Amino acid sequence: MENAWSRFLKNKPAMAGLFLVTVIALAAVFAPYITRYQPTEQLIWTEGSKVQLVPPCSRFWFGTDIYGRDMFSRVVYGARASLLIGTASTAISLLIGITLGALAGYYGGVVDDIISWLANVFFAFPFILFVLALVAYLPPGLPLMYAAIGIVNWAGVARLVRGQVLSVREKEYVEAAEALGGSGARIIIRHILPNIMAPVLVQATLGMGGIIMLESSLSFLGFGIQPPTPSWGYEIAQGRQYLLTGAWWWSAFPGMAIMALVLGFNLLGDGLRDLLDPRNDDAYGWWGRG
Amino acid sequence: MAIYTIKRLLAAVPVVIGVIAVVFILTSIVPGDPARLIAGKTADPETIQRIREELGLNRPLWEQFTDFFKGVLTFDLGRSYRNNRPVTQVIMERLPLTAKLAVSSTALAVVTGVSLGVVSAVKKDSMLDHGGRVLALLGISAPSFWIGLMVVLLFCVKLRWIPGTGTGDGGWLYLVLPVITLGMRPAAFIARLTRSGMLEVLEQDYIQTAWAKGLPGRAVVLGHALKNAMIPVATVAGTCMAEMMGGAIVVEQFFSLPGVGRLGLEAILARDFPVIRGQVLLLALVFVAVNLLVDLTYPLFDPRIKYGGKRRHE
Repeated sequence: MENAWSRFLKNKPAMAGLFLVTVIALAAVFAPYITRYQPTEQLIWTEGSKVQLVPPCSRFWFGTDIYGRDMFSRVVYGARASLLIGTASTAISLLIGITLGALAGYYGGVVDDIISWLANVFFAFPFILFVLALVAYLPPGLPLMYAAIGIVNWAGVARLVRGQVLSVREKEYVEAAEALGGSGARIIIRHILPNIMAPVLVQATLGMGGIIMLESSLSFLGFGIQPPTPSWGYEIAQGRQYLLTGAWWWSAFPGMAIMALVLGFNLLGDGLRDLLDPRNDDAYGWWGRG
Repeated sequence: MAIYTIKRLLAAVPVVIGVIAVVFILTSIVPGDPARLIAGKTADPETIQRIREELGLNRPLWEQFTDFFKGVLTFDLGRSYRNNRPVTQVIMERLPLTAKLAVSSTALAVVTGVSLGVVSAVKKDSMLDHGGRVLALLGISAPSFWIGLMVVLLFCVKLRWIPGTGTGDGGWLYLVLPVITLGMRPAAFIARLTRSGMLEVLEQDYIQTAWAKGLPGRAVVLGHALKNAMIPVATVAGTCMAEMMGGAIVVEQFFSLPGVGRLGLEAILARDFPVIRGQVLLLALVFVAVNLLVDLTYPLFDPRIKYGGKRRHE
């Protein structure tokens, strides 16, 4: 393990990914201490139109928007929404995916047939349309949005877990646990899951990028986090209207923030795969559906 | 081949039935009464009741499902709540634009991605390789609407080469930016896949043999190596195209293109359930069909793949 860890430390792209994710996460947590203004503070009420659409300068690092709000504050606070949705939705998809995937792989037969069929059905769904419909019709609120994204993402996790469970089900230690009379649930939780978590962790990390991008797409279309709470996708949509007037900073910085965070998770996931799951060296995990 | 195709088609049937069922259930249990929506805010209860009866919404859910299922089999997906036109017609009007967008973007992604991947692999660790990898990394990590914004900024605002949004006279020029925007991420992804696939293949013995025989570089790289690195690329290109057919919502909305994606968005906002159902169903069918087609292309790249898993010479 020590060898693997030192390999991880020597993996420059993975360290760059860890650095990006850590910096953005710290900025999100300590946002009130590193920003000068509140993200919803409209300075036009106190300072007038001279603070509207100010380009990046020493006072406003990322410029201001049409309401005189500091874009640096909005970008930093916007990280909270992205990270929260990324983490919560990943947790939900892992919970559903691991449970169903493990049941399908361990019990096989009809259970496997039904779960695999359901996973195939979810795979065939037009993803964004499906999430949009869920978000539009469910009562407004963040937890339901996490759930909607998590629900449509479970199938990939379930397929991976099923495959992994199938590969360890016939191992001696599982047979030994069965011979000792362990129940199915106990064998899955105590003996199988700990041995198959490495590729799941890799996929979860790589999947974070896709979920963050999906959340930004939803916000861009006006279905995500509702204003005035800052969200990167919404900022890009708003700033887009002023692009032709030359106010590029309103959309450019939130876009760069999304890119940095997604890049960070992708690099980190890739590094973790080298470390934990070196046999599986394809790049499929990078394909987020955002 | 025929047996394999039939087998694959039959395997897709339960998936399609599942999609129909899930779509129906989801659009039936959402809060909100379509009859009230159609009738308008000021309508009296009698009018709402009449519309409900006309639409069959007063009947038990299973009856509605049976009707819906029968309708799907006969390509009758009902009528739009918004304009009372047949759903199939409404979708088919919008489909050509989205199909044009998806096919062009996939073609762009494959050509750019494969070229970049091959150059990166052949010139491994060179400046070209490093540059290509950084480009692919950034391309994969950027959301499509942001890429769209940047290409508009560059080509429309700074260079003034191409018109911005909308379909204009319907010419290809108006599709250039949406195609670049939509194709950029898959191109970056395919570049990465091609590079890793090529690096693996280039180390194989038969490639060394081809070099040793004195074959020209182009024949070795394109004739021998690339063909064998193409299977994952074909899979991803197919999946991308299928997803673009349904997932071009953001790009269509961004460039104000009246395609299927925007139709879906409009239908969701208007609670036009027959259109939503029809569209989800159509796109799921496209997904299944494209995946089947991708499977059928595998033997072109690797003749050892005999359908059903046996090798041809065994």
